[in-house]
Amino acid sequence: MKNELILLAHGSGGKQMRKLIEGFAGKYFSNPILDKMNDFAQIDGGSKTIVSTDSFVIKPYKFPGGDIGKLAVCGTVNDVACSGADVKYLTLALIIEEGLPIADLEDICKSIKKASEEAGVLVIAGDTKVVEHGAADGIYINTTGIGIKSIDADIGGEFVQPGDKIIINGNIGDHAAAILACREGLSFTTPSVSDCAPLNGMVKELLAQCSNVRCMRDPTRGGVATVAGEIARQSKVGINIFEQALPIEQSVLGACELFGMDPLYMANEGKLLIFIAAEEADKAIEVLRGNKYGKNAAIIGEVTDKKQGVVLQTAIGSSRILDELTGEILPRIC
Amino acid sequence: MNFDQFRTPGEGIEKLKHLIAKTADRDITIMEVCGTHTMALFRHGIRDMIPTGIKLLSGPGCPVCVTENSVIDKMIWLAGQSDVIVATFGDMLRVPGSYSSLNLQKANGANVQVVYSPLLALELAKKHPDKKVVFIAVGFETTIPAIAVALKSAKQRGINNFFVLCAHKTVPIALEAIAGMDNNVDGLLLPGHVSSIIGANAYRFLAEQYSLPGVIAGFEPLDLLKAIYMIVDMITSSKIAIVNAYERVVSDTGNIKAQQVIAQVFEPCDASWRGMGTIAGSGLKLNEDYVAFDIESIMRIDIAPPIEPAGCLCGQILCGTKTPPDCAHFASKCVPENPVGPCMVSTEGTCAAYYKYRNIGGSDS
Amino acid sequence: MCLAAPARITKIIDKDNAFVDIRGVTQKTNISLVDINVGDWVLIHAGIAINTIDEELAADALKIIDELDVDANEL
Repeated sequence: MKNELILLAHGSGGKQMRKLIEGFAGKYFSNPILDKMNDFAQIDGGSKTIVSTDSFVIKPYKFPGGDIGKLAVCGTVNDVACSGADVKYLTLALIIEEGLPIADLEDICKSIKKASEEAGVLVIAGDTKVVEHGAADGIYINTTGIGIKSIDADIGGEFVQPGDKIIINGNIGDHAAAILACREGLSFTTPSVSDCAPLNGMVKELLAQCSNVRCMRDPTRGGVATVAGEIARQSKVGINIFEQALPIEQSVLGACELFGMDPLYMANEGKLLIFIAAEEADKAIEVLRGNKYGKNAAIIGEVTDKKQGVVLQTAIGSSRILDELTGEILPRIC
Repeated sequence: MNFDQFRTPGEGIEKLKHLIAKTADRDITIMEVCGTHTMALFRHGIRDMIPTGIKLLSGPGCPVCVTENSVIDKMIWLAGQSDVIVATFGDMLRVPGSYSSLNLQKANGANVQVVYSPLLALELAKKHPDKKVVFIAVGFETTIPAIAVALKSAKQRGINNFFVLCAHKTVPIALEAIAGMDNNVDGLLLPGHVSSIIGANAYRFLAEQYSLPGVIAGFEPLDLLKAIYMIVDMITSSKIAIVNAYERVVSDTGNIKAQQVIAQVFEPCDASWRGMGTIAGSGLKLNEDYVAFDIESIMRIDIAPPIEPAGCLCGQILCGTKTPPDCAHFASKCVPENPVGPCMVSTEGTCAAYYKYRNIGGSDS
Repeated sequence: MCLAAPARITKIIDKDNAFVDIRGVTQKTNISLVDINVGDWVLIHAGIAINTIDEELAADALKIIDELDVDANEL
């Protein structure tokens, strides 16, 4: 990596980011907990404490459907919830660029309060730093979530098995489409709003009814295709995704058509990919649809023993490989 | 009208698949000229649906891929100037030139803005009167009218800090060069959106002078399968013609207003194509009335001689004489996140498309 | 070579500009190269309507595929 620079692509959730993290985390911080490469860590086998941390940088920091405060709570809460734990506590660290209107900070804090109350988590520690104008973009937030896992089930990217079904709790691409519309140089408006939401309540309902959930993960940056690829690698299985089953808003397809993008690679902030034993899939759909964040839940794929990564079964009856995201998602016209 | 009917699964698709399989009594090589066709074919898994004897080669229809290193080096040089904002389509960001890419320049602090339209680049110029906003004008006849409209507007509104780095190319003359090459191409899938501007008549000479059949195609699954069927049918029955199978958008004469606006701003020039060399009259440059908007008319762009990446087969791949798997770099040293040649950069580049949408159990890709 | 999206004219702003709808997404588009009315379909590329889309010809094309004579038993 000599002479190489960090590019935005290294933070886009795709292949470059994976290689960067595998490179540095593997090289300098390797330990049995970290090496599992899940979005959460289980510490001390006895009490099953779950920890996850995430940093939030988003432009603009206020967007249709939420703001960076809501996102910082939901993102970490969802990562902890994916372990099967009850999410209990959050730490909150703010890095603020000088010049941020205090009123905006207050709005962000109100969002944090609202989202953490809905998720039932307490903010138990925090930190604030202010950096020079130009050294950050408004505000960045880091949150660390702590949860207690009281169920026995093994849940994680390494536990997926051939035959499992793959469920998503609703429409894909809404968050990315909403953010895209805020971007300079594109000039379009969309009814899409971010799906940003705390999903721990929905997960709790699911786990109360279904005991064979193998893995849950939020398809944020890199989208459904990239996250499915991560899990295929972790569990050494193949994955089929059914194009016709994917729940997608027309307006998200419209934005994709205009700018040459693929909804399968677009970020979501209120969605989970749920891998579950086939016999429990219908039950899971019923439970998810009973929750306000799972109204459009659908079975969108299945796990196979063919080690060919992620394969899309297209609507017209053909198939193609879905690689992980490379580079940033950029609007293209050519 | 719901144009999604052109992608509806079911009987239409099955019928066309069946007719193609039934009609293709020999090995047939079809070149899809347009990079967006390459993408659409892969995206819908069309290669999966046709007999393995029908080979689809990707031609010189991706602006990123045919743009020579010297042009890319120029845009990278421009990004390094403190009084310049480079405005570009997203595709050009990752293209490696001889020494760097816009993406790397951006990471080093260069002012590079991705825009979706040249008209938005013009607004950028209005917003930053103290900077020269240089739009990287690449693309074919589909894209050229938009740039002509932006330049006309700049002139009319007196926005004199808006410039272009002009590297436009035109399709029919390049196809004539391909038609004259030894590349086993039996027929052409002709670019639907370029054709909507220039009209179907622009290709008639290919059939008349070179006995090369071609079908102008749309981009939905039914469009693509229908066009492939029509090409296969022409080849197997020895009927050579240029057929328009994208009637809803393409006429014989094209969009006259668009042709006029191109003629008001540009004039033909020789153009250098990666891998194909200089083709007389295959490019466009700003005419006398608009030459002041050419950044090269006011700045001397001082670049070192371009270097082509050793062993890269992009040039031959664009002409249909080689396919990506023939290249030693393909999928080893040359991958989308670290491309050696331009055909791996653009998502519609032949190599990127082969890499991204590798068929499952496909015959040759 | 050229991605273009079908869009419907929803409002004409002036002789050069209109709002178009693409599956619920709204975009301001340059219409100086096409003769159109509200409700017409156009093809959008790089922020400009490059051509109109003829609905009748589209319907004809679908009909031709529909009427292709293929023995149902062979499918």
